[in-house]
Amino acid sequence: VALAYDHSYSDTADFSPRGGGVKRASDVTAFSGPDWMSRAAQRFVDLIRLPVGWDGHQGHPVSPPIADYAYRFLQKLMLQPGLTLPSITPLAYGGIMLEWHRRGWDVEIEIDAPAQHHVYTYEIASGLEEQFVLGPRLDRLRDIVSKIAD
Amino acid sequence: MPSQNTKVNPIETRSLSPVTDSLGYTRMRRNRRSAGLGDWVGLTFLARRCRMALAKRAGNGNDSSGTMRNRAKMERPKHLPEFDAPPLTEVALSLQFQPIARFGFVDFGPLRERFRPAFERVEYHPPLPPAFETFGLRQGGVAQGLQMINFGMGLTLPRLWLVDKTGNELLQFQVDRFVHNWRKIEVDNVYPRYEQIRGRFETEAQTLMSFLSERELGSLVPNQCEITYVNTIGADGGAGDPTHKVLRAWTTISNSHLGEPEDVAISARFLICNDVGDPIGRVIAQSTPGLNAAGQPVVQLALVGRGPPAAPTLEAALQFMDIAHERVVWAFAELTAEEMHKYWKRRN
Repeated sequence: VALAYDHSYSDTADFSPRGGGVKRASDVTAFSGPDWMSRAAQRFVDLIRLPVGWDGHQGHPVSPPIADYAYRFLQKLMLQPGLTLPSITPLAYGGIMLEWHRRGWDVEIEIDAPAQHHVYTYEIASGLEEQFVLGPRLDRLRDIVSKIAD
Repeated sequence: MPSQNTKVNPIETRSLSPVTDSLGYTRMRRNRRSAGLGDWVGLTFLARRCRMALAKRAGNGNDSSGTMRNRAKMERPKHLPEFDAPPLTEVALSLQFQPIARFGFVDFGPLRERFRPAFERVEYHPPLPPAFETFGLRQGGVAQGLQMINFGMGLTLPRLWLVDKTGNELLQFQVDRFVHNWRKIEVDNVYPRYEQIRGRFETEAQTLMSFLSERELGSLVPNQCEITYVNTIGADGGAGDPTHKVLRAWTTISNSHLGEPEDVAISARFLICNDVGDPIGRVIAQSTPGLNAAGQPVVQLALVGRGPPAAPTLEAALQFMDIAHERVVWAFAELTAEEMHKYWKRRN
């Protein structure tokens, strides 16, 4: 697992940053962050290393680009107050599912490619369920998060 | 927390009644509750149908009919601020797309040949991490202790640089990104303007799409696009940090009891919204203190306009870049001090 930070311009300008400048992957050797981050990161690493056929069928390991994206997406979600770390589940085609089953709700977010997510919610008491494709606007997750957060 | 099961269970039959609401979201009501995977498999199937319909509506990323319209020579919008001698040192147009999973080491050579007449020199660099702009949730970042991790384990394909003979023009390719850079190498290099760089980028992106198609490597499905302007701004020979002379919002700080700061790093993000006020992207402004080759203090002001294209097509990506270009040009004019505009020969 390597930390990464970079940009699309080429750093050839007549310019050297002062005070150390921007950290690059090669500068960082140790992981530091909240506990949930290291647990989530380790889980993603484990899922990437799954053997082909891990599910007893033709299941693929989680694709690294999907793990990259899911980890960042999870970071955004975990900034919402009171939200706990979800179950992080592999999907047979190499995707990832984030699942919460708490406070009377089932919430599942399937990530099948970077920036492609699908949300399923189910309220146990009412039996009402909902499914929708989630684009770059994540507003709709605010209500959902408030239902499952502490 | 439930056990982390594998989501592969027998498929159950469910009675689902899909309805579409005013926002186009599909809602379903299930007759009975079950946490079993069969439900999920059924729902996933429906979700895939829904996605296929969306993809069909949005185009498959290879539709060239739209891009034909863009081949007409672009003209610069007259209302945009214009500088005859901008402090630009680099401009990059970047298209990020779903990773081309079938692209391998053996494809780098033929890809290089495709661009070779214009881009002779080759370099290899580590791949850039993907970047995604999302909206509507409380945002964080590295500043709040969050960290980016690259999960690309084991052998990772590099980022290919193809450089022209002057060094001014650069193409970058990696399995999920394609970038065209213009760089100021010599003092007298003149910035060729966005419209010209955009025209080249469009042609090159089409070349890349043809290459991927001919080799049956997959199609280009853009998911983010980005335009970057990097300005390196000196302080007229002064010894101190020039930020308070360069950035409008910082011009009064030297009047405080603190005096002139040793150095200043500033980062700010601004939403780009459409006509009805919905966010569609961001302008990110980053000012970093530094030294030029002569050891004089300079400020590097990087302005990035980034967001998802309205549809996964090259045409939509270029349309977003046009919007982002206007916002970035205005951001430069409005964030920098008017006093500096005289040096940069602002026309309007």
